[in-house]
Amino acid sequence: MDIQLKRGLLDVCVLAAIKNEDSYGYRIIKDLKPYIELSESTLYTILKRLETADMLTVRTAEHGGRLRKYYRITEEGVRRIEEFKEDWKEIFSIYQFVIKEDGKND
Amino acid sequence: MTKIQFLLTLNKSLSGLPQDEIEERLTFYSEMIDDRMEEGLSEDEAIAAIGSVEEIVTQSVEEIPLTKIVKNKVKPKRKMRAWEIGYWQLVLPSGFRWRLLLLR
Repeated sequence: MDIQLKRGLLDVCVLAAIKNEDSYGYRIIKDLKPYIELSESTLYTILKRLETADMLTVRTAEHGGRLRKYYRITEEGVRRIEEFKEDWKEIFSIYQFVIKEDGKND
Repeated sequence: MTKIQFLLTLNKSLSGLPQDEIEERLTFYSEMIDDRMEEGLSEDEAIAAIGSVEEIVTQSVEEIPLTKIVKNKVKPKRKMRAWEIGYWQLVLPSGFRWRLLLLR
């Protein structure tokens, strides 16, 4: 997949992974694994970027005698997901156009 | 390699970065290793799974803005004014290799 495209998708994927309940780093990677491959260092960068953009908040909680960071989506993050859904309706109709044109005989 | 050895190596490799950035990363990767071990992986397997120190450093260097690295290295006697930071951004060549050089 095109690198730029993947980069844009990963941000929204992470937001979707925390949309319905708070999640933590390793769990986010596992949840996304069937759909898109994500390294820890890439996830770190994405989480930082989303936090700076106020699309998620971070809190530390105790788990099994150690500390773990949990990420929660914000209203801004939910808005970003809605934006993504609208964008992709448009992209899909463009895709259909390309497929149609590509299929025509010369 | 043990988790401690991995984190020490990572700490050393990131030594050009601001202290708070280093600590944040160490906490993050330590958590990742712990979570994998909790699932049943051995210490070695967990460390192997999260990526090499090189990969982590590369990713870190690419993301930190140049101004932050320069500010940390130069440590002026007085605070840098906005135009000075802008000046250094203009004067210094941009790019990945330069950032790596600064980290040494």
